[in-house]
Amino acid sequence: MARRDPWPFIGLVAFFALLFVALFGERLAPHESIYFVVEHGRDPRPYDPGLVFPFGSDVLGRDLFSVVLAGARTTLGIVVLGGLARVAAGLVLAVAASLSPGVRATADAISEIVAAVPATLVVLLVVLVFVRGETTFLVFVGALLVTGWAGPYRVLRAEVDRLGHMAFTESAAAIGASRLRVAARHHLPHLVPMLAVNLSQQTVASLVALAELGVLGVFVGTYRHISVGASMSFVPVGIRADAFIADPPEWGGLLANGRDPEALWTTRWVFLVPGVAFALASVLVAAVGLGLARRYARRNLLDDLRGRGAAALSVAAIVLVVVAALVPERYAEARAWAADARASVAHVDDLERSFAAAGLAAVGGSYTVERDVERIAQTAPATARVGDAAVSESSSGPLDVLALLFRDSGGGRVEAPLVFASWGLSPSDHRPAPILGFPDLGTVIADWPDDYGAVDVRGKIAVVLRPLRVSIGRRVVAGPDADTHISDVLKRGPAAVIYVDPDLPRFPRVPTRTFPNPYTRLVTARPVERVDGPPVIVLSPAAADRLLAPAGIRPSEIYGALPGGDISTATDYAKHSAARVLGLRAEVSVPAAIERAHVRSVVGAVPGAPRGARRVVVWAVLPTGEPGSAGAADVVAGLARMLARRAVPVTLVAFDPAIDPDGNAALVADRLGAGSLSLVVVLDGLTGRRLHVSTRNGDLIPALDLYAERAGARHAPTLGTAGDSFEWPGIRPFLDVRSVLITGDTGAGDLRGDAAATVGYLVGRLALGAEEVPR
Amino acid sequence: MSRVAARLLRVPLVVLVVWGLLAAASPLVMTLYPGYTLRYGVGSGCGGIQRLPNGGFAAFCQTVAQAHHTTFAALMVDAAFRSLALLAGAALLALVVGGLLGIAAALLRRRALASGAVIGVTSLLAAVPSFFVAYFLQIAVIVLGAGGGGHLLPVFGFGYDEHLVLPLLSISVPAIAYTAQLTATRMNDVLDADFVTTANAKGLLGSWIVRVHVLPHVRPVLLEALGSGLRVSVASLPIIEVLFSWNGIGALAVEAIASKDAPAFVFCAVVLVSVFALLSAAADLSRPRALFAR
Repeated sequence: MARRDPWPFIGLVAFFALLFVALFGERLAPHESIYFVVEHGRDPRPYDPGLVFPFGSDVLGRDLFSVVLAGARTTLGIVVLGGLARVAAGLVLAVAASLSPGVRATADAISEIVAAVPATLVVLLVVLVFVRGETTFLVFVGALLVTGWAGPYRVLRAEVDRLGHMAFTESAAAIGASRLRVAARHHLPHLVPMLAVNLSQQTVASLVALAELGVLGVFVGTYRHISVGASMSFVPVGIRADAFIADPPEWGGLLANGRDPEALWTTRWVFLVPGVAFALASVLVAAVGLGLARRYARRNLLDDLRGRGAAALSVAAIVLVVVAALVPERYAEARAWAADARASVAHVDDLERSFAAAGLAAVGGSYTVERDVERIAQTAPATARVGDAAVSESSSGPLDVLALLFRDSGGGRVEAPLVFASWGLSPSDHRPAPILGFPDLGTVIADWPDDYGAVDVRGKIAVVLRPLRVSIGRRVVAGPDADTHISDVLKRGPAAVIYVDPDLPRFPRVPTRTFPNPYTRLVTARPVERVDGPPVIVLSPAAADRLLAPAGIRPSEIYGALPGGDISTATDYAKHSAARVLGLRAEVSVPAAIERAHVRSVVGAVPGAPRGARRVVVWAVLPTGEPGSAGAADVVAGLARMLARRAVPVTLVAFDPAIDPDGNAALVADRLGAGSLSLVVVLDGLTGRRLHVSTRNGDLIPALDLYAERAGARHAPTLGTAGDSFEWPGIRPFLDVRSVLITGDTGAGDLRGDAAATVGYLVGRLALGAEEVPR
Repeated sequence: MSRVAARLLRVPLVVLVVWGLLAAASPLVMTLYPGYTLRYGVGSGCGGIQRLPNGGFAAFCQTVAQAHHTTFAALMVDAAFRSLALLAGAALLALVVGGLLGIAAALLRRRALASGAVIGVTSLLAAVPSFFVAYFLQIAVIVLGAGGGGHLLPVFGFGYDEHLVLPLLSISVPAIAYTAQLTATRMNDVLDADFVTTANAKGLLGSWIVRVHVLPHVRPVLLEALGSGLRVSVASLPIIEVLFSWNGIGALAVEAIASKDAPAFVFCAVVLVSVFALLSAAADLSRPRALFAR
């Protein structure tokens, strides 16, 4: 041949390019994949190329180029493993088939079926079924193997057959060469071009499968649902603040977030950047295969392996791998901080003295923030009893019994005659005030009988049903709010109130912004003032049925009998009040008492940090029982000793949440100056087997997981952003600051060291200038 | 002849076996994962909430036919025609463009660089994932259209008109590349054969040799290449149809998986499997057993 074939050289270059990106991609990326730019002025995310990052950002504000580089190792690893598995399975089966007719018939039949089913659909099903929140990539490699071994098997089997009938095989056998020797010495070199082409084809096929899953919105690895809305200072309309992201970053997951049809016009780089990565990788892999195939089409592999070139190439590859292993990771020294923090955990009795001894600076003149607090609190579950029937508060299941301690009610145990006040509607409570001629509650019930005229509730236990809706003709008016309705009963001087609310079971025990509970809101907005007032207990109709059975009243039937669920002017209630004296005695008990405490939180700042630097607060929650026994306090004491001479902008707080966490926290927040904080790391309840991290600020989740992993802490990966119900003792004054709660899962086990290491690593990165912490 | 009959008989056999397997397995498998919404605007959905008789709530998936507001039979027949239109177009393109490219590469073989370039470029082109080709074409059309100030081509949607252009191009790229490669290889082998050397030595005209002595040997390879190349197209059918909102068999299969509609999935999969099996048989039957056996 006159000219040297360029393809082997191109293949070699492609191979080293892929190896280099896989080994060093993460290290070369300009930013880490845990770095989010959540806000950039008023620019909408994803940011256009060149605005914040040269290749643009993804939906959540990460540098796409960096994420693609960081994801190269995982992605290429999966697909090469998948391709290898397919070809290896094909080769093994082909050799087995050439030796045994039984294997051959079976493998032929199965491969015919496997090859006939479209691989995309099968991989999609396998991944959907087997990939759960926390799985390994091996599932995906398995799916690739199951769907793709048939192609290599068929090609290789034909080739093995052909070689078996060649004259040189027979001659070799005739001069006494063993089967193994024939296979290794004579057949393998012939198979090399075919194996190379197959391997590259199957690797490309795996890449395509991975990409197709991404386009179809199905992830391959662990994935997290992340919302960065809480980290933004304002929320623009129409811009997504949440997305699924893969961890470790992987290209298919990137495609999944850019695949909307509108993205073709608006944000095409979100799809194009990982798409180009896929296409380039496919072409490079194909080039490697093509190069190998063309080089070994007429040349023996074994000759080459003995030559000097092969040795030089393998040395080069090994050097690359070794260098990759030796290059220190980013902020490698932070691991030493983590180790120091872990070693410094120790039990202390007096945090104030230990802060002072360590050399922390007092904040606002003192190490302690103290106050006296008292509050009236319920001490035991509420109960109610009528004759033999009784109901009491439980702590689980749907709400059906709820003691209501607020400004107008109180606690205590009351025994008194029982009266039924029906709907508790009195025209005197609701003045008619029609709006633009539309009737309101007052107009509708203006000439209805007064339920409180029919019975005298003074000194008695009143049963009141909540009227949800009242109607006149086809007009429906909402009934009174539960809190004003209850206050209306209470101002008539009953000994206690049993209030029946059909909506009660629908309210959550722990309210959130999206699922509020009006009763808990009432308790916070109008706190209780008396230990012994008239107790109020709210029941669901079902619970009321049980309690009032001896009195012959079944509230659920009363509600069920209302036409359309409304009390209308057409019903009897508009003419005669159903209120009556029941002639039974009842007992209502809402145990309550005054709690008092002297609250003492300890605060200390690490001295020497640059002036004006926004500080990270480590917020250890003291146990409300006996201070000093908690894991979190020991971590803070250890951190105090370790950090005192390291001049990082960190403030340590041992927070006493007793009785009134929000009030206590407000005092501490005043001392700290909440505006100059960048992050609050909350440590609470550090026992169990694994640490759990939760936060409303989704941009912190990948970072915290990375910290815990690098610090060698036992931790469970966080799979999603905490919702509205996210809470830690004292959160209210810090709602504008990014915060992270680190706890243990309940159970035996000491996690103090793990939590200390995680925080130590974080502080270490902060000191070394990592970009994701200060913001 | 019996070889051909046996091979053809295997086609319905494979289809039946796969049908049985899928019909048995897919309803079971589909209970094992929650349904998901494929993407906004594509009509499939497990977004609905259904009230159960016991008062609780459960996620509720529409069947694919419900999502498309039509009957199962009408939807499937329509979808099958849409997909077959794409595949037929791809076959035509592969035969004409791929075959010509392959022949050109082989005739240029004395110029190693040119023929190497054709082979290399087609190999690499075959490696570019179809979804990327599709997306790249869509963007190119949008950008060019915006630059030209007009509406160049529809970027997605269905229609037996200019809507066909982009899906057809993206689905036939691997088939074209594969056909070109196989044709070139085969033609190279034939050009190296002794009888061509002899014909040359006798002083026959180059064009005559090619037309009378070479091309007849290359023709069966075209069919083989078509069979193998189109299988790649069928494999990428689901993704291409989803990207172009084509609502053919492949896209419906994906929707059926997303909304856990087992009958629709089995039907779509069986159609795809039949096409696959037929193409495999065509490729096998036209594969020459050995060079110049007759």
